[in-house]
Amino acid sequence: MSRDARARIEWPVVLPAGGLLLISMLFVWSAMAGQGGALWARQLAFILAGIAGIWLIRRLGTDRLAMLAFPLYLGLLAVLAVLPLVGDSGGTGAMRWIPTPLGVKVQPSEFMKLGLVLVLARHLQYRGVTNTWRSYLTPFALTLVPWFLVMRQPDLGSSLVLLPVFVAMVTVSGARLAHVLLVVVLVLAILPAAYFIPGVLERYQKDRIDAFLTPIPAIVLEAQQLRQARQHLPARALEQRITELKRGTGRQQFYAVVAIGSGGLAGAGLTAGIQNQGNVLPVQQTDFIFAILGEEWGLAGTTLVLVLYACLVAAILGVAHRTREPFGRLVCVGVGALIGGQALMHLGINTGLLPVTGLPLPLVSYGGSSILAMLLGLGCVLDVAGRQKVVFFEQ
Amino acid sequence: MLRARRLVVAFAGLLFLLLFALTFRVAAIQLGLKDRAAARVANMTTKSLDVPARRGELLDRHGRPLAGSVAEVQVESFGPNIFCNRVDGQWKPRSPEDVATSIATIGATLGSILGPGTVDYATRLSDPRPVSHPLGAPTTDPDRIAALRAEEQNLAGRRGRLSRLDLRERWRRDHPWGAVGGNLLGWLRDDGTPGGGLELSLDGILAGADGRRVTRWDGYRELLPDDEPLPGVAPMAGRSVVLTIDAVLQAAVEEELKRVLEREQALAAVGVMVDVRSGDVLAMGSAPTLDPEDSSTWVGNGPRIGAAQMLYPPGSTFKPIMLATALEQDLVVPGEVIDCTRSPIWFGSRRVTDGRFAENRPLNLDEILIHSSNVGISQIMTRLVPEGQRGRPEQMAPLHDTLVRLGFRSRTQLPVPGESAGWFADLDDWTRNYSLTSLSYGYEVSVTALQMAAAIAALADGSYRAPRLIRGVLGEQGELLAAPASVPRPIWDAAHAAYVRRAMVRVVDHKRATYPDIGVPGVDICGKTGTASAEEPAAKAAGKEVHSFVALAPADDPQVALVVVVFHPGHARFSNQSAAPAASAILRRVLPYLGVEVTPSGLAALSR
Repeated sequence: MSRDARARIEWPVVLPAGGLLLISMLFVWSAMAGQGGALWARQLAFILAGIAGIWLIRRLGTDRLAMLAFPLYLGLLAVLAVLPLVGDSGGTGAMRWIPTPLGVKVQPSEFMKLGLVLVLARHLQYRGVTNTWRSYLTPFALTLVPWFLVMRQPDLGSSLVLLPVFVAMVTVSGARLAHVLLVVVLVLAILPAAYFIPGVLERYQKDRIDAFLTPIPAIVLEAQQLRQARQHLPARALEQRITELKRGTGRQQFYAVVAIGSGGLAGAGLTAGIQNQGNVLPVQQTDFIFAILGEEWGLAGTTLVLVLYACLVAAILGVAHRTREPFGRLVCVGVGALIGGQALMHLGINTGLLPVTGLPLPLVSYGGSSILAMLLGLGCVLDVAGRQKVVFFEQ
Repeated sequence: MLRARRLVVAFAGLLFLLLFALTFRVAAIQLGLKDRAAARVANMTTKSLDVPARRGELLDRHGRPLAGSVAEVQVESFGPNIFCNRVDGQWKPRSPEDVATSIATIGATLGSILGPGTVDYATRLSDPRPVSHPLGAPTTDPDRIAALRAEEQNLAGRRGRLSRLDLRERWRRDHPWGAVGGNLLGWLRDDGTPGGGLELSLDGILAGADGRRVTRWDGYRELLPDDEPLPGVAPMAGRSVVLTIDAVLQAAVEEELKRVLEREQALAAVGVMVDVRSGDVLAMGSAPTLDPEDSSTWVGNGPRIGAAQMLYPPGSTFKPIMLATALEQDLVVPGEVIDCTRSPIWFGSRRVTDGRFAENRPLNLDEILIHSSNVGISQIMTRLVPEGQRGRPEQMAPLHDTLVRLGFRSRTQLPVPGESAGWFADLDDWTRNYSLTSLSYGYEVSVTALQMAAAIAALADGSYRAPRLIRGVLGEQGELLAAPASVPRPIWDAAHAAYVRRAMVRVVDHKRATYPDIGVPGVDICGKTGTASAEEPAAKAAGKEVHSFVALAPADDPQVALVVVVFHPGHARFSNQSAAPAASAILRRVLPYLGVEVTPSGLAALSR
């Protein structure tokens, strides 16, 4: 690759990504306002490391990365497999992290997302999907194994993000829409069954689904009606349930919706959100950063973030649309699906449309592994974009 | 290639559609739920703590607190607060050295403020369980409380040596006079709710209104410093109530009642003392007694304010009332002699007897009271209806109206829980031979000692004054907001009342010849004894009686009316041996306190 090609910058990708990273710095600062600047500095360090990663990927080139896809994938699988033995739960009860001598914990599942994108792109770049069942088998297996390992940590959120990546890449590589829809319907049908199969979901995960399916305001109304009808015993049982939901997992989502709603049009202002500053929202700097953004910047801020994501995904898919390299296109689609799908899920959880699963907002939430993996993904996209333009120029 | 590009566009379209839908969802939440969400946020991050109001005091007529309120602080430890630190909302164990240092520091600080506790402070502080342990006894000493507060401040930037402890503050009921007036005052339970007596009936005035302190809490339930004071509600102290009770008189009455109860092994003894010039209840005691600070005495032992709750047949103590009414209705004239040569005598089928103490001779009005002649008083009262007639209501109405005007068969409206109204038959059911005869010597009527005291007090000047238990309420500046005074209600002519009082003085003089415990040496008092069968069927069948004594003292210028009733005495046969000596003992103690000159001139003055 020429020096010019490496120096070329795909601004439609860089600008929205940069905007999101800036918002990340502001809101990680806001969320950590009462806890000193150590975590904020750490987040900055992760971003800088990610930018360095982008530079490294562009130096390396995605063509060489394609050759490393399978070894990387297998290496990450091996790490995920041994994670229950060497991992650290971080006090959450889920073995998701590997401690490092630097004092930083690495979350392999975040890198597995990118690893899956690369390995699927590598597998599908020439073969594609020929609409035979056998052609689906390998990409499905490549997705299912990490999905299972991530699920067993347990990390329902990260495991679910792998599905849109799989669906998007398989679709773009030639699958029939009917087949894709069939797979989606099957997955959607199997997911509820997982709730009832013993051992698949942890107790707290079932609690989150329960809380999601039991809207608190509706029960409050029902309890009030029972009280009015002087049916005190069933009313009391319902009120107890409300208390459990508010104290338990349903509380997080309830508080998140309340935080977003309290922001109104312009929000309370940075570091002025009562729920954020009062630590009412648990893990607000990661799983509920969109909620505190809604509280402190209001509709203006949430719309800005949504527009930035739309621009970013559009730019990534634009690169996929332009490029002539099958591998590069698939990588861009995978990264676009990863960022878009994860953002949609995070927003769905924060706005009460999906059950709570611990999922960071790409490029915005606090977390080194997440930031680093996403920036490396963007590095791949930037490299694909640069290569495509260089080829055109040389011609 | 072309298909792949189309699919990329389709995929992008799908993502944009979902992002667009989410934008709508977010807008709906932020624009539609703003006010409700803001209210929720305020609700979630603030916490309202009750600030207990100072309960008003119950003061005696001279302003002496019978039930006061004192601030009390209890120091408590909670295991995790000693053994852990809260870091980012999580309990992090402290090192054993730090814990030991804390325990030593806290123990020494507590020891210097509260003195050594009954249980070693270090022992309690060394318990890591999440249980609240009281450290030392609650203190009411203002200096100690101030010292504790100074060491406890644990808000940001102000950490005292006791910041790991909790100070539980509350108001404690204090009874400087001990159990005096306990039955009347009632008690407060541990949670501050009233359990009976005036504490219960006056709770609306005494309790005040608890305040609210609104504090801001973070999501880890940690108290945040009040940079900006949040709107709260200051507690409104309860009003203090000044009773008509005199603590000294109350103590004397209760002591003598307790004594007669123990001596007679009786069911109960009650006593009421009323100021005849105002109707103020100066003392209202009952035995067995109740100690507001001893919960073991709160339940059982029958009615607590027996003087207003227990009904009894007044028996012969009703005769002075009947005699005054007879004089008022011109049924007799002073000095008239009634034929009491026969006992028993018959009114139709109604037999009336003077029993084994019958004089069987003509008796004047004084002698009818002195000898407590049922035959004599019955003959007088039956004059309301000519002999041979059953009696029409309008013929007997004067007596009925007098009893009603004297407050019988109606509650006094004093703030006494469970006050009894008393009973006598409706006028339509009265007959000459039964009702008039029975009522004349205190049967077919049930009264409370309080009603009886108020009625007897009317003999002081012929006017009835409704009893009053509350002098007033203290205002915000401590000024007395006086309750309305009782309006005198004329019942008898003053001369008729004086005539009956003179007869009652002779009753006491006559009794004293046989029972030296009756009366007050050096002071003439009016008195009348009553001995009646118990009203309850089972007690009556068992031969139980009710002994009572009514008195006015001093006789020449009555200041107080006193009624003592002994229910089911175990030893005494007559009230001369139980209620009368007890009442006399009370008067002997209280008359000097009331400033009565103890001279034997009373009778002479009355005669003049």
